[in-house]
Amino acid sequence: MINIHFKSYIIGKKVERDYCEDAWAVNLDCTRFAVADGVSNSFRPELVSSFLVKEFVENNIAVVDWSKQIGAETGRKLEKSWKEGVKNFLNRFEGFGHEIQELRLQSVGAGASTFCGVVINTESNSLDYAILGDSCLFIINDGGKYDIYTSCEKHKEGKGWIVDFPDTTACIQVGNYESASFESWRIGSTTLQTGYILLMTDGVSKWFLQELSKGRRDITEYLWNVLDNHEEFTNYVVKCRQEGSPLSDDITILMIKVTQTEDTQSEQSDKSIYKEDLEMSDTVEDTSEASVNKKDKKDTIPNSTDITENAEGKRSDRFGKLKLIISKIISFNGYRRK
Amino acid sequence: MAYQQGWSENHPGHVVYLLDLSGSMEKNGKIDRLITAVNDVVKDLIQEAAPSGLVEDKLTLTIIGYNSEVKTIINNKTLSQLYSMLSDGKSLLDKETNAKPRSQTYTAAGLRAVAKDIRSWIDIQNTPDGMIPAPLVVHVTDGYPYEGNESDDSAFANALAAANELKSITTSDGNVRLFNIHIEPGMPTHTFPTTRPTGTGDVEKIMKFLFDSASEVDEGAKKNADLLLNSGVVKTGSKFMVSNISGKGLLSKLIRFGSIPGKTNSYLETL
Repeated sequence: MINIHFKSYIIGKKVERDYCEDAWAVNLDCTRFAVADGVSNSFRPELVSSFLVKEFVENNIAVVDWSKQIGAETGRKLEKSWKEGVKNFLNRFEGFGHEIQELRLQSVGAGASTFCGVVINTESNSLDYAILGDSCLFIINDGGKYDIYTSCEKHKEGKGWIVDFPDTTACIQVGNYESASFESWRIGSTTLQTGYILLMTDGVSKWFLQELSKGRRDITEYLWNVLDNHEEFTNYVVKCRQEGSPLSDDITILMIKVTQTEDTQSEQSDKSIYKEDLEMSDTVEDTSEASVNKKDKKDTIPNSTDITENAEGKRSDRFGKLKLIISKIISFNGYRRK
Repeated sequence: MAYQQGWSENHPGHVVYLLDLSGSMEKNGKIDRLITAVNDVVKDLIQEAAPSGLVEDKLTLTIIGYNSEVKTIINNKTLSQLYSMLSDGKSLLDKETNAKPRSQTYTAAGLRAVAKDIRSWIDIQNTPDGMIPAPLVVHVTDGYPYEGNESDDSAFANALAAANELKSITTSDGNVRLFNIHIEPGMPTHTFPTTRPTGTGDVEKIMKFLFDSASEVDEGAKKNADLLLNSGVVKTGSKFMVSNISGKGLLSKLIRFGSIPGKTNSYLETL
């Protein structure tokens, strides 16, 4: 039996809870996870990032079709949603404040966001991913091997990956979907391994890479085990920022832990794993079990399979049954599909 | 490496506009053009710092005008303070009052006032990690150093010495950067030159002064120039200097370019 646990952390630039351009969302029904980073130099980017993650997890679109959807129906919905949000925002201002925001809107033109979404596919024992821009997917298998997936330039050198986080990033931009051409996306599928799957916006992935470059191979375990609630994580971020670390932007991490146990329990059907009170909770443990609703799961990535060269983690022969354990949801501003 | 410190509320930057308010700025609408450009850029800096609707104090601004006197027009104001001023209907610059052109061009005195302002600003910084962004100075002039009875050579030498002293002020992020923008039509056009102007005439003397007193463009600012101005306009070894520029909105673009930190953003650590 495959067990999936997840945690999330999201913190704004100023450790404030009222404005953050990042967003994350999870739908446990179909094990879809996403983070997105609203591009700061765009207008109301949080409207874009939050729309994208919600849309990704709510709709059971095959990952390989996700970028096409952005250029079609999903893109049109995004534009409508963003324009409405912008209108409401501008109505909050009068006089010079309104002039400034209109100026900003004219100056930057549109809202934009990067994206990183994954689907754990238990039927094909795969992890499908779609990434645009400098948000990153890390896969760390039980052997401690790190792999990084991003649509930014990366290459391997010496002991590990080098990633260029450019000044400008590929992104989904409202009203100009061609700006994120299909070629800009990193879309693929890899074998599901036991270990960790981390989705990060660049505000934290830069720091994460830096910690790895310092030899902190235990950094994932540290994040998972030691930082145990939002307050601890916040304090850690504040400390790092004071020391001048790259944790200066909005930061979002979605951490998924995949483990395998003996299949000794009978399958339970339709047992809800959701709890109303999970939202906004700092420390919640839920060890409910459930079989995943697999209906309509037909994600296939026939032509863009990108099996990591380090796919040497423990593989499950059968991922027919899934145990989901929500442990310590540490979040705000996130979205969790019921 | 210098000039890597990003500007934020924890690490606010500091920008000084040093404006030539000598009598000649009255001619050909230069002062109007300058006032419009500064107002536009300040609004632009505010909007850039207000993505959530609230203004983030990522920088402070001082505006110093000089002719035969030196006047601090805006003294180390945060963006939110500037926002409040403008919201209240106040003007930053008014050519009938605080930016009225008159008299001569005491460039050295203006530069020394900037140095004093920057030293004071550095003294009051209290960043969490002690890192202080390198300040930026944008100097807009239509003329050349002239101090009345003093010989031209003496005024030039004084101004160059003052500029060098200003550029020698350093923070943990690097030295102060000085950007000279010369706006007199009819003068030779220089756009971020890499080589010192040649010649021995009076015009060349002015160009040499602007070249010598300007800082060299750093790598981050070069990238900014590619994005904000024209790609390739700034080259390795270019000086922060332009002369006789024209074009709608170009003065605003140049002042804005001179008002943002040239932070490079690549991350190339090896795992």
